[in-house]
Order: sequence, then C-alpha cells, then structure tokens
Amino acid sequence: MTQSPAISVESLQKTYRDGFFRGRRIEALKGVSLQIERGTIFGLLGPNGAGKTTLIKILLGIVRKSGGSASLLGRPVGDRIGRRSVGYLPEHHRIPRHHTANTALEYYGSLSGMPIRDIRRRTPELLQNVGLTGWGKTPVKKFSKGMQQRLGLAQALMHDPELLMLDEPTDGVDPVGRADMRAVLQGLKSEGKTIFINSHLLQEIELICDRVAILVQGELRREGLVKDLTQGGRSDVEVTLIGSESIIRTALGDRPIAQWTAMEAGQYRVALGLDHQPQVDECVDDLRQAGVSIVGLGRRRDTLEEAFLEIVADDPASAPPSSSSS
Amino acid sequence: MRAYFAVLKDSFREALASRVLWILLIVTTVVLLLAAPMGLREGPPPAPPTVAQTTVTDPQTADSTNPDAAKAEPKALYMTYLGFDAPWKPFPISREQATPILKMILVVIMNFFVGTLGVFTAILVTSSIIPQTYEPGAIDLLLSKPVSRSLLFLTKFAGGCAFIALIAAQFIVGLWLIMGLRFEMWNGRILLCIPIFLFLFAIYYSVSALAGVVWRNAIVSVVVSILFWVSCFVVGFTKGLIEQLGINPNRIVKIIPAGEALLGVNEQGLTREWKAESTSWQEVFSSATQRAGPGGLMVPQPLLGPIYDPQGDRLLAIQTPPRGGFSLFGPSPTLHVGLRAEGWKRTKGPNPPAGATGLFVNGKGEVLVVGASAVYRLTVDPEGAVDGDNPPQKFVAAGPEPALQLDSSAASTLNSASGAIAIWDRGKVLLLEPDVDGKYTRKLEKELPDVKKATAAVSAFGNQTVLLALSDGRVLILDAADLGLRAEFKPAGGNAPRFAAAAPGGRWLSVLFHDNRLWVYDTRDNKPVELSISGQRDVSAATFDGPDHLLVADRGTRVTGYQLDPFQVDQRRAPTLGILERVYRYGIVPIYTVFPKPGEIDNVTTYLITDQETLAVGPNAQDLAQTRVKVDVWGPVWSCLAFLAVMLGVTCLYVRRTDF
Repeated sequence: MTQSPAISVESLQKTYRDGFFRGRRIEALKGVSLQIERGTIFGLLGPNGAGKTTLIKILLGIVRKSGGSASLLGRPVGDRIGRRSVGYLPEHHRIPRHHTANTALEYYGSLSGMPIRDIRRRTPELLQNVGLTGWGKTPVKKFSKGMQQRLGLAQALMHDPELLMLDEPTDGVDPVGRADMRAVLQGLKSEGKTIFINSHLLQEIELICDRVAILVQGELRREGLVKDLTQGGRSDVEVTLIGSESIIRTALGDRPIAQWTAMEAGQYRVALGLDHQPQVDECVDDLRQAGVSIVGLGRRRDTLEEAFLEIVADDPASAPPSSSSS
Repeated sequence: MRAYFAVLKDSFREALASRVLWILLIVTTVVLLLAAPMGLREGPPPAPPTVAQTTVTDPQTADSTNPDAAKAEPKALYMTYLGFDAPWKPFPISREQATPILKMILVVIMNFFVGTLGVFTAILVTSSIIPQTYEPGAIDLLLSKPVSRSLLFLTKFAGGCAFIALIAAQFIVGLWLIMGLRFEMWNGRILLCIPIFLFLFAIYYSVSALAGVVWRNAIVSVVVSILFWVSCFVVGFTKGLIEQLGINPNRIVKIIPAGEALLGVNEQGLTREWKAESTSWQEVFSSATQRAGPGGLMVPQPLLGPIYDPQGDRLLAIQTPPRGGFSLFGPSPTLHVGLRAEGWKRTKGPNPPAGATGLFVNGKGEVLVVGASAVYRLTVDPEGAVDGDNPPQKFVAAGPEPALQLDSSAASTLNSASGAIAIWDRGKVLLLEPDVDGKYTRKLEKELPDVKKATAAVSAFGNQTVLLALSDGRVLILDAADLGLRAEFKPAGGNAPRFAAAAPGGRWLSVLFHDNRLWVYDTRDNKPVELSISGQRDVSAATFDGPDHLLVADRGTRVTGYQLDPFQVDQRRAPTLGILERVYRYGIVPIYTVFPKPGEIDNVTTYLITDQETLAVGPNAQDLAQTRVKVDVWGPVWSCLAFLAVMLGVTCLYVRRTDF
C-alpha cells in the first residue's frame, strides 16, 4: 500500500475580504497545486505577500480555504487528528510571558495531548537539541529573540511530529544557532520526518532542502529539486578562454553565445548554448585548433538566490498581491 | 480533555504570575483582618437612661407590639473592637433587633464592595487574558494544536472566571466567618454569594471576551465592557425612574365595585372612577392634601377602605394617622364619606373608633368597624346635629364583652353572609358572631401553633372557611366551625401577602401577594385553583363583585373581569394610554425585557441574605397593605443567563469562523 503524501494541495484558493463592508477582495492564493512526499525537506520561497504563510495556515486549519482541496498526512486540512502529527513554528510566535521554558513546553505538549510524565521526560533532551540547556527554569520574558525561536522549535518538536512546518525558523537566530538548527533538521530527516520550511533566507533553503517551490502573487511559479531550479532548465556551458577576441569568435563560428564577458587582458568568459556533450567536445576541439587556451570549462549553475530573482523578475514581485473591489 | 485542562491550568499559572492577584489578595486580607476584631456585646444600658431608651420603653409603643415588653429588662448593644467597647453610645436595641440591620449592612457591603467595585476591578484585571490569547503569534500556535476552537475559548473564559473566583471566595468566606464568629450570625447563604458574583462577573467578562477576540486589545475590551455597563444602567435607571414617577403612583391597588360604577384606589391613595365614555379613570373622593406630593415621592396616609355602602350609596374610608408620627390630620382617625349623588365628594363623617383594623358593610347593609377594643356599628344618632338631608350618625360599640385588646397589626375580616367576624391578633384567631340583637360575642378563640414568626396578616372569610395569609408567606385555611387548621399553603414562597378578599357568596377567596401574584382558593372544592389570569406577577389589586365574578387590576390601570365558573374573561377596562405610558410600555419595557440586567443581580444577594423578594420601606413598614419595593430576584438571573449564553455562543461562532 502506498503512503499518502505528507502534503497534497490541489488548486488551492484563498480570497480574503477586507474593508469596512468587506467589499475589497484580496486573492492570496490562486489555485496552487503541490505535492510533498514524506521524508523530504521542502522549502517554500516567495516574496513578501506571496501567500506562503496563508498556505501554511490553510494546511494547519488556522485559515479556511476558499476553494480547491488540500490534505495533510492523508487527512483533510483542519482535521484535528491530522494536527496531532504536526509540529508548527509560526513566524513571530509569541509564547506567553508568564511561562518558563519548562512550563511552556509542558503547556504546548499538553495541548498536543501528551501526558505530563512524557513531557517532563522529553524536555531536557529537547532543550539540549535546540541549545537551551540550563535555561529551563528561566522565564520566557528574559529570552532573546533567537532563544525564543529555539524554544519555539522545541515546542514544535515536543510531541515528536511526523510533519514539521516551520515559518521563518532562523529569523533572529545567530549563525551558530542556524547551524544547530540545520543539524536538528537533518537529524529529523534521517528519522524519516517531513519538514516544510517557509523562509526568506535562500541560502538556508539551498543548504538543507531537497525540493523547493516558488510562490509569487499566490501562484506557484516553479517547483522541483534545488539543482533543477539553480540550473534554471538551461544547458549553458561556461568557458574561460585566453586569446584574441577575433580568433575566439572565429573558432566558435555560429555557435550560440549566451553571454560574453571580457575579464583581464586577453581573457574572456563565454557562456555557450550547447545542449549535448558531443557539441561541447567539438567546440573544445575547434578552440584548441585555433590556438585558444581553455582556462576553465563547466556547466553554468545559478545560486538559488539568482534563480529566485530571475523567476520573480518576470513579475512585479515586490508589488502587493492583486486586489479588486466588488 | 488533557489539552483543555492544560489551558485551565495555564490560566491559574497566569493568575499566580500576576502581581495584581497578589495585591488584591493582600488588600482583601488586610480588610478582613481589620474587620475581624469587631463585635457586638449585649448588656444593660449605661446610667442615667438616655432619651433613646425612654423611647424604646414607651408603654404605648411597647404595648402595641408586646404587652410584656415594658416588664422586660432593657438592653443595649455595645460595639466592641479587640474586646474593648467602642467610645460611642451603645445602640438601644437587642441583638435580635440588630440582626436585620446587620443583614442590610452586609447587603450593602456585598452589593457595593463586591458586586460593583469588585466586579469592576475584576474586569480591569482580566481584560488582557483573552486579547493576549488571540494575538497573532499566540493564537496560531494554539490553533495548530489538536484542540477545538470553541472549547479553547470557553476554557480560557472559564480560566478568567476561576481567577476571580479565588479572590471572591477569599473575601466572602472571610466575611461569613466574621459574621458568624463575631456577630453570631451564621448564615450559610452568604456563601452562595460567591457563585452569584462569579456569575455577575461572567456576564461582563463575556462582553469583554467578545471584544477581546474581535479587536485583540485589552483597552478596547475594558471600554466595551464599560459601555455595556453604562447601557444596562441607563436602561434600568430609565425604567425605574418612569415607573417611580409616572407609572407606579397610578397603579390601582384597590378595586371598589359601587353598583354600576367602578372605582379604584391607586398607590398614592387617590380614588378614581372609571369613565367608559372617555375610557379613563377620573379622580373622585380625594382631598387636596393627597395631591400635594409630586408623583411617587408622596408617602400616602394609611387608609382603611374606601368601601362602598350600597344603602347610603356612598363611599366610606377611615384615615388613620401614622403611628408615633406627626399627622396633618391630627392624632385621631377620621371617617371620610362620599355620596354618589354629590359626585363622591369627600366630606367628614362621624368620628370613628380608635385603632380601627377593619371597615365593612355586612349583608344587612350595616357599616361595621373593628376597633382596638370592640366592634362598632354606624347607627343613627338621635341627639346629633342634622347635616343637610343626611340623618346624624355615630359609631356605637356592639360587643364583645369583655372588651377586645387588639394590636394595630391585627387583621379582621367579615363573613358578609353570616355577619361573623374573624380576627387574627398576634398569633391568635378570634371568631365573633352577632346575636339576634346584632351584639357580637366571642364564639371561638384559638392560638395557632407556629405563627409567632408572622408579624402581620391579611384575612378573608367565606362560607365556613377563614383564610389567613401571614406575613411570612404562609396561607392558612381554617375551619370556621372550630378554627381547626384545614390546610396550609405557601404559594408565593416567603413573599408577604398584601390583600385578601372573599366573594359575596363565600365560595372564592383570594390573596394578592406583594410579588403581584394572585392566588385563588375554592372553598367548595377546598383547594386552590389555577386560573389563567392575565398579568400574573403584575397584578396590583383584585376583588369580587359577584358570587363568581372576579375583578383584577394589572398593567397598572387595566381592570379585567373574570367569570370564574366556567372561567372566562368577560369584561376589560383599559384606559387610553398617555404618551409616557406608551413610551414606557412599547419602548422602555421591550428594551428592558431583552436587555440583560446585570445591575439587578444584587437582588439575588439581597434575597439570599434577607430571604425577602419584597422590601418594606417607610414609616408603615409593618402594614402589609403598604407598597413594598419589589425585588425581582430570578428575572435578572434568567435574563443574564440567556445573555451569557448568547454572548458565549456568538463568540464561539466568531472564533470558529475567523481566519486568524
């Protein structure tokens, strides 16, 4: 029997109504479809107002969908039993200030249905994992932003959920903390947990996610493996050459030149549109025969940030989501 | 359930982490510790005797209430603190007499300090709990857990209430212990004030909670709660004011069938005649002094009657000055006479006997007065001066021998068919019967067991049945043959009766209680009857104008006629409403009805402490016929309960349907 995906979203729509008479319509999600397999780390990217948090909140039943369908661990979204297996760290979460780290974990663990005995047994281990050893009895109001974020992660992990949904988890966390958090998430992945991360920090996503999706203005623009996105679907080859420009251009003949960058004197970086390896080999032969030195050669690859910027550049990404009055 | 228990536990944790809780607990503890050494000590009054003591032992007053009082050792009540007597003079009352005063002080403390200041403080203290729960970042964390939104809200609400319950319980239990240990007033019902005040708080808190969920701001929650309090106050105050000044003074409290005419006496003591052609009540038989006071602010003079004398085709009433007080009418009672032929114009009649407790017209058309020492009959005075066409009259004693010694609280009633008179006086029932010469003799006298607690009564006499409605709310049905107790009822709880009446044939007896409920007893079947009388709990007067015909006044000035066997409504006299009455009936009353009445929840505490749904006020407090302040005990409770349910329901719905 095949296991249901951790998250399945089909043509998901969400329209908010705003204004005094709720006449203004804001389309936060415009038919998003997505499937996330179990045991993966999935990153959701998008500019501000893209609908990322709305998507997470719909999946958790905090916000009601306007259309489409979605399921979480095989159960319809909003289902209380489904939420038992989910750990959630909201963006800008606020743990009540009267709690200490220990009592906060006891509170949220109890809300997840855990017996107190299990909570108390698991608390020291969790605090250690998130780097808060020795802070258990300290009131939350004395915690820094990063420490609160760590405690938030601990509460999300308390009931050992199958699916972890993290909204900007490294927000306010120092580099050491981020490394710790990455280690925790990698450890969870190795245990077969599914992790859904919503973050602006593309480097973090690139480092730990298997798959990513880019959401722009409520529409899913790209979804796939990180390496697929960073290659952008292209087959450019980038060569660094030494020689005269005219000789090089003659040797390249009518091969498509995607980019020509003059570097030091007599040194050029050229991006060529070569799809297949024989074409690359033939090009190398021609260049060598013309006496051009090849300093470097490789497939061209964007960073995730470059890929992201390129994808969202097609749209007025920084503009607010579309809205209309009715 | 584990999750919701965690929310509840968290509320307590939040409370214990709050400085405000500890400050309140310390303040209430200090107040209780300061009050704890207070006490009362009963002892002999200090010499020389004070003016106040002389007043208490005044033989006239003492005689009128308790013949043995003059012989009793005078006592005074000393206020003590830490075992030492207070520097001021002792109170010239006994501990028993002080108990109702202490109860009223306790009512004030409960209603003002706990019910008003306490609840307002509680609203301020708890105003942040719900908004903080629903703040972004906090609520989505909670809602991501496998919990129901509605139950989460309700548990959080209950947590806020529990917070306040702690403080209320500490203060009220402390008061209860002080009252018991220091004032020997152990009243377990004081403890019931804890849930009552918790309920009162819950009503305001439900408003605060809804505002907190919608706006997620503690200040807005407090402001909305205060606006709600002000709205409730304005609605209640407006209704009370209109009632006090415009509605209640006109309420008919006595119906007098006078042949073809129908007259009514209102709360002010003004007599009015029904005019069918103008569908209105028009004033008759009133004196200028009665109209001197502005609306309900005037205290009416005690009036015996008026009654209708069919033979003379006239109204008769005895005006008695208040006991022990200054009277514009002088110290002696006055008989007022109003002839129909003269438009019921009030004139002075012969001097009635002192201490009159009953004024009747018997089956022969004779006017009888039950005085303090005898029954008197109004007869022609051959030696008197002729007043116009009317022959001179005077009251002549008609027995019994030896003379009666009735207290002013005595209640007398006439059996119009037989002429027998039954009198209740300080726990005893006396039956007087006329002989062939019309002279009254004692037929039976019986001390009723367990009626000493009742300080007053009203009575009715029909067929062989004497009905006694006692001030403690009991209705005794006695057999006139031997004055044996045939049945006992308590149809209006502890509410005192106001009037009793008997139908001319004697079959029906009725009692109207101060809570405006009318109770009817059928002497033929010897059982109470459930009649579909409209306006129950708003009935202000009832009388019989035929063997099977009942007239009932409700809605202030409306009189409805009921055929009793078979039961049917056969006439209705309702005056055209004035502007004020229309505004009141179609504007204020509907708004008041649907509006919650948290400000009146203190009625419940008053009731719990005093066990009374009506409060006697003024100089004639012992007179059952006098107006009493009606304390609507359970109406506000039901209204507030419904409001609370609606508010919590609406909030739950909002919470369920909102995208956080």
